[in-house]
Amino acid sequence: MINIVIAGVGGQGSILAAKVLGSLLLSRRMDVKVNEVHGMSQRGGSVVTMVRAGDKVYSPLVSPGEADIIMGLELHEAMRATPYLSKNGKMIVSSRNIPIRQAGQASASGLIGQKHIDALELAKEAGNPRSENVVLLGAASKAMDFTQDEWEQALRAHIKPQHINVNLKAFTLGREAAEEERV
Amino acid sequence: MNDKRSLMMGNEAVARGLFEAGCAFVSSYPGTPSTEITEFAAKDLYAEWAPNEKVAVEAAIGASLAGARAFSGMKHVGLNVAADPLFTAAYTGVNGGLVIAVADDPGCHSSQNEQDSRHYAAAMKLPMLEPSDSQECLDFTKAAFDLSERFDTPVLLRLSTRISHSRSVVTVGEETSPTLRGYEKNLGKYVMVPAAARVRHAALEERLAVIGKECEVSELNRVEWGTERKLGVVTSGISYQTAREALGDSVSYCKLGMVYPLPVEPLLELAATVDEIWVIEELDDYIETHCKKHGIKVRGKAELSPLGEYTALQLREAILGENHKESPQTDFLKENVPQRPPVLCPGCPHLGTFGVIKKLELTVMGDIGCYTLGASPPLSAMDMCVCMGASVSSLHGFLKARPDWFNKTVAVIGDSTFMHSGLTGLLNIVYNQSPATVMILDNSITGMTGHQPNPGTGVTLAGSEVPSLDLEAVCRALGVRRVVTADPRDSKGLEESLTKELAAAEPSVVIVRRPCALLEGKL
Repeated sequence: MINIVIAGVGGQGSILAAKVLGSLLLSRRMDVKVNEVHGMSQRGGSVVTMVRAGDKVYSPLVSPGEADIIMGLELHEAMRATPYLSKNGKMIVSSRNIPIRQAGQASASGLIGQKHIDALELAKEAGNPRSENVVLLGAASKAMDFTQDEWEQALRAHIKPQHINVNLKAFTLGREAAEEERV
Repeated sequence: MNDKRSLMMGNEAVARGLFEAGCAFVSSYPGTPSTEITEFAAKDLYAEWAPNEKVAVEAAIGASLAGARAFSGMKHVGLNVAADPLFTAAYTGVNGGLVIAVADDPGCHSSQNEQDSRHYAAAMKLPMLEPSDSQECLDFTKAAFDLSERFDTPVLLRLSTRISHSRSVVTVGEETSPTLRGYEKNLGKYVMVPAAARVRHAALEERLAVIGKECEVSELNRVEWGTERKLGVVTSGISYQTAREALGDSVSYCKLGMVYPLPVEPLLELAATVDEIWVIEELDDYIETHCKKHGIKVRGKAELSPLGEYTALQLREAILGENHKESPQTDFLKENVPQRPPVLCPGCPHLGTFGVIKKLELTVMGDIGCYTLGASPPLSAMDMCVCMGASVSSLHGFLKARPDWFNKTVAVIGDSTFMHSGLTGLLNIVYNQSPATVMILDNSITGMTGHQPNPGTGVTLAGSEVPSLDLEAVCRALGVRRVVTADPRDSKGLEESLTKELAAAEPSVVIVRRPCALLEGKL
């Protein structure tokens, strides 16, 4: 069983990341379920997306303590998602900080106690700040057992041809950042 | 596509089911979590957005009468709006198959209540199917059309947020070309005057008895025997998935795909085999009541909550007696990472509007849409929100009870919501004369559900350009003499207009117009 939680803020591209992961896992003939958040919660609110795969998946929801990987697109949301992490789970966290209105300076960064990946900066470097979700996928790819070809196929299945090059670059930059153990 | 196995959202799978069933007409009003059914359907067949769910269902009834397979999809509260035609369509039955999807929202992810729409099936006496994953969304949609035509009845398809918005593996089937059944005038069947209705009520009861018999042996319901015979579970929909996740393979499951009528035989079989039965169903004790009525001893709502969604951990605690205390970390996070609720988008025209409302310290009858977020702090600029259109009608009642508040109380309603259910409320204000001031926030789109076009947009779901509704002219035609238009970006101008209209001792409408910030330049 593989359990992945993607935590972010509405508009950050959690759903695209989940779709790519879904296709990737499906290509290995596994049973796959993806739980998405649509509607009101998308208006700049917290968004938790879940991807599960295995021989047979029942609930689309990951239980606390079950996640093998948490992809945090934003610091506060990554922190909020930490109870999902399993004992040997891995967190891939962007240093992106989207302030919460009326929140005190509960600086999220110091509390997780690990290095972050500057997904937004790498996304800009790739050519489009909106590709931060794909940067994080690239970083997460290091923790998963799929070939570059498989990833590329999954990305191509969900990203329009005119945007694919930027996103492939974003993916590579994220992967490299993870390989350099910057995360 | 060579590989027929793909990941589909439940709503997408329902749309695929419509395509495969040869459905020829879809009419809906957007509502989370049901919206995408109609959007996906529009890619493969004729689909349209109606001004509200009642109009949508009545249009679908018309298409069915004409002989086509027809569909309407809505959220749970939309079924309240569409209930009137459906109660009687249960009497007339159908010509072409008629299927209505209703998506409940346990947990109120995007809704004003968490009503359990299964009660409607029992009240309307319409068969209701409930899929538990995307494959079943596709299969049950097709089965629903089959039932509809075989038994001459509209059929309800019950979804919920986690079914509608989860992706799971689907193997698609072959599409069917739509066909048109012959049309024959039949007063006794389709004209529900009392004499005919009494006869059709009897026909409905006879039909139900037959469907009930079929339900006992239907493949839509099944018992999955566990490795042990201690614990049995009766369940349906998403609760089936949560229960299997929580309780595993040792337990036996009676999984119901048809939730109205409910079968008895599979339940008796389960009861005869296992030591103890739990009914696992989110929201009300609908299946539990049925079990008890038939003398089957079950455990359920006395120990499981009628509120919100169930989690696997919650079920393990209640049923297996496990203890899953929240970790200290969770408490820490609750204290240190504040909630991030949805907010109005940066640049949203409603921000300007609510800025003025807050400055004037108005009492606000609110409504359903993005602008409901005006209720959140720091704006906190709303005093009530109940259902689509209630702002306008309730303002009238409020002012009849407190006439001297006319210069500091307003209704706030969006363009799409006004067309959905605000028109009649405004007519009532004019007819029964309250000095009400109604603000119509016109961003020319149905925003909250994801930018669906509406009659004011000038474009249809299929993309055709059509005449757009003239809000000013409509308000004047309803008898409002004071109709002004303002721009929410011009706070000073809006404040002046609003102050002037509030002071007027007669009905007035302030149309606050500015396209949705997410769409500016796109329309």
